[in-house]
Amino acid sequence: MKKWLSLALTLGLSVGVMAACSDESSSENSGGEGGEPSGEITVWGWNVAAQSMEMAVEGFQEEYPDVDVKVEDIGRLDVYDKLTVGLASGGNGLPDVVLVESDRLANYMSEFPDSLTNLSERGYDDHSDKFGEYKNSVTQNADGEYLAAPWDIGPAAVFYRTDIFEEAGVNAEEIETWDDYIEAGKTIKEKTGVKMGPIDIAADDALYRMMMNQQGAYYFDEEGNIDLTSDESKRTFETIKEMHEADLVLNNDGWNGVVSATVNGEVATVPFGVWYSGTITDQAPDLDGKWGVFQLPAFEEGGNRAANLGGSDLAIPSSSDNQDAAYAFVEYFTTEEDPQMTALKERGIFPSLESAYENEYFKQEVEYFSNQQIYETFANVVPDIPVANYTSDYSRALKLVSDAQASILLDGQSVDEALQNAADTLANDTDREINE
Amino acid sequence: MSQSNANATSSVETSTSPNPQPKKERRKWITPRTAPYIFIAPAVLLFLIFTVYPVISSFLLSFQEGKAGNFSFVWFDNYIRLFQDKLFYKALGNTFIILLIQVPIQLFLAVIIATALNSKLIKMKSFFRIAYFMPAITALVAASIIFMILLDENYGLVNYLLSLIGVEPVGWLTDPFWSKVSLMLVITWRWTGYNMVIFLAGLQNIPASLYEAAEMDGASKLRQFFYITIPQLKPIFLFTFVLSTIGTLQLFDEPYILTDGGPNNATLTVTLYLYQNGFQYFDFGYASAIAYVLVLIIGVLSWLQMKVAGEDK
Repeated sequence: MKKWLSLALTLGLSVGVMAACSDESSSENSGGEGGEPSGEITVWGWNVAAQSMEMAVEGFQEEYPDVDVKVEDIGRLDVYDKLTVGLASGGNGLPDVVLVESDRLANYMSEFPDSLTNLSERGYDDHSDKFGEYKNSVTQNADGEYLAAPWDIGPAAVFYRTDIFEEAGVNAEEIETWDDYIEAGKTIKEKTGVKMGPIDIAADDALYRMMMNQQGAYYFDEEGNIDLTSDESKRTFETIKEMHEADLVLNNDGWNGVVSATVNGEVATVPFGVWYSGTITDQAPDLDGKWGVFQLPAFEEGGNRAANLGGSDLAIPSSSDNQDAAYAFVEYFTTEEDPQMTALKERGIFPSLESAYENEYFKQEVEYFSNQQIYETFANVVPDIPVANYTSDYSRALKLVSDAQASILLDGQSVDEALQNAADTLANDTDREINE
Repeated sequence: MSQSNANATSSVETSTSPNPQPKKERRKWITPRTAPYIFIAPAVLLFLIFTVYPVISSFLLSFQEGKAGNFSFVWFDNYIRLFQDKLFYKALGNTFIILLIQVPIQLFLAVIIATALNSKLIKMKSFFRIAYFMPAITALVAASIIFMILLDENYGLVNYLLSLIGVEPVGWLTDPFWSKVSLMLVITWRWTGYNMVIFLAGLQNIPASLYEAAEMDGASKLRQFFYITIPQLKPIFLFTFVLSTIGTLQLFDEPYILTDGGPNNATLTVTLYLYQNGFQYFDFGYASAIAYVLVLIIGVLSWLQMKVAGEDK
């Protein structure tokens, strides 16, 4: 009986071990060596981004008729879950191409550096002058090599309700600084009862990130040291706190809450990335002509008003056994103008490929946004977006700063104390130094 | 899983007592002696692959640190860091607050409802039994999403109803205090019926003669409840209390969906913190250390409860 048991034990353990180790070495063989890429590739994305990739397949196949592209629309968080588990297990079950948001990319690049295909080795460096400094910085590793291809970008601005501003007698063009913004907010609150903007206080620090980025600051400095206690950081939360104390902030629970507030007319402005234009037109078709866009206010007059929020890039897991075709698709999709313009026109996804901005479409007046040339407004933001160092600890920092935001706005903790706490916790969790 | 396997193994051992068999010419694989092993082999194999192997593997992982995909042994660093981690204590604190407030309330409610449904005065008993038990078998994610919609600060039904009687909107999921209350309400809604069914089974095992005797001596219904029902239910109390304790310590789905641990970690639980470290920050070694500390806490608590309850037997 013992013999049977030990046999079963060894068998069980070895199967378990084998399951964990297999598929580790499949990265070497790439299909269609030498000649034209062929075969089938699988692409993971979500939502409008997946749809945009699907729309690009036809154009891609005109150049590469032998490649079949299968785009799979998986939920955003599911992509990350599957990607994390897949990379951690040496590439099991991963697609040939995967979409990753820019701010999450650094984490994957530093945790799994050998699991993402080095695109520079395949010649992507030839395209580096087609993208702005910000976008290159997020897709390249420390040695300046591309581990992902830049795709869409999220230049930020303030979406506002023209009718509410008019009713309150506020001129949006005169808002140049955050102080102006707060003053305008007070007038609007007084005259119309509408709050100035929505914040998901407990879970998202989007406004903080935009304000930090426009000042050329972020959670971490260029060396990766924790920069939460910087003057820029304190000034940012003091400003947000001032808005909250003047009762200009609508506290929303989650993404749906923010969208509902936008659609229901409970807020006069929404500072967000360009991609929010798609959500507004989609969710509030009856507010046609009642929206406008102005640039983010600066901290002092004449200061930088450009910031980024969101955007995503394409990576090729090393486990892909059809690297040639995968690279061909990524190169076509990120550096050709056609797929960029289709994505923008059909799904409101803003290209980071700067040559696309020359297109006539950017000059177009958009009826929904009070006939403003909003795409040109956003395109003008792109070159001025300061570089941000997201680092491998981005998710941790985002969580801790959101917590700090909640303790400042909801629990009344002082800005200095909350930021110091967040910085201390971050330092304890990550072995990073805090900047004094 | 582990429980059923333990049973399977022990039953095999008893059935394979020396079994005199005539020797046969041909050697057969399947004989009465080997058959039981062959039958349980799939279960044992699955158990080894999906339970034993991960358990050992994550134990080893808890002594390691992963940098850029390479894991190296750091021995007790993860545990030392854990004992200095304010967020871990906060998560532990939250979990114990829920344990100390919600579990007694839930068990008390379960006993009351079970007693009521066991009495002869109530009609449509099976309807009520099903109604109370329903939440325990509802899909957790679906239920949590419904509560999320009901409890929304700006658009939720609960705040709308409260506004009708002039109550200011309550930040059910966005206020540090109320989010804890909401979480406890949702768990109570879900698990009271489950415990009620266990109590109901216990109640039906109490001999009717005890009540008849008390009746004759003129004891009131209330006295009967406190002097017969409660003492007789003692083993059931122990069972449900241990189960609820383990369940609460492993609380994950509800806070994950309702509040994601927020606002400001007011509803962060130990397992949620474990998940964040493992799957959001890729700190797998640290997450494994949290898991093992949690296992230890559950073990100690369960042992204590058994001991305390077992002593005055």
